[in-house]
Amino acid sequence: MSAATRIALATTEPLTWAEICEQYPDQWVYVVEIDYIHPRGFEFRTARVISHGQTRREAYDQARLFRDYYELIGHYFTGSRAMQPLLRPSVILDDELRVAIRYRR
Amino acid sequence: MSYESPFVTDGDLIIVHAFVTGPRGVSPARFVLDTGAVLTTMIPEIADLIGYSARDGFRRAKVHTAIGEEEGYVLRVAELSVLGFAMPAFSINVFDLGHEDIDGLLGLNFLSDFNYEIRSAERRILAEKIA
Repeated sequence: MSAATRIALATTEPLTWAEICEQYPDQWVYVVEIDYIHPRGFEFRTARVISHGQTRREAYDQARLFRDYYELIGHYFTGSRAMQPLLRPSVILDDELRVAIRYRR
Repeated sequence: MSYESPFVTDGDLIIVHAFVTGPRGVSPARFVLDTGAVLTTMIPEIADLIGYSARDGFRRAKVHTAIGEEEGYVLRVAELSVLGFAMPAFSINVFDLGHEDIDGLLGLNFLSDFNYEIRSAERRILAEKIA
């Protein structure tokens, strides 16, 4: 079996978000061939699932194997989660770094 | 040229949909619009997925966190696309935010180049590039 065939077998058919949630409840999923509803939004019509797992790390480790086959790989969580506080880090800027990060048009 | 982009919220956080491009591909990402962050940040997982590692960083960056001082690295990604604008060779700090649902912070090194209007009731952001 060729690598391309194995990859094709490992992905699902195009699924809607509702179908993905039903098949992989409360899991992290990594998806490809995402048909976005809005080019700058999160929602999509359909996507193919390439990996899933109870933890993001578990799903990510499987998804990483697909990097050679898909240019764009997205990720979502299918359940609802308790709100987690974001403890923002603050970067310590010296003058050199401040200049280096300035965007050059 | 101006664009409007939808956003979602996570608690009080405004989350926008970004696309980060590297040598191995593109990753969609959930970035917090953070006017308090000087530097745009993304988590190492996103960097790894699109083909970057610490070896690609051009600077180490010291970062203050709740547990003390840690270190990230700053690299220039091939492209950051968010709010309708694509910025090639854009500097991003790579650092683990310790938050499962957030992939990065959209900071002032991006936002300073734009006028933007957050229309909370409509869940959309209007952005235009400063000439």
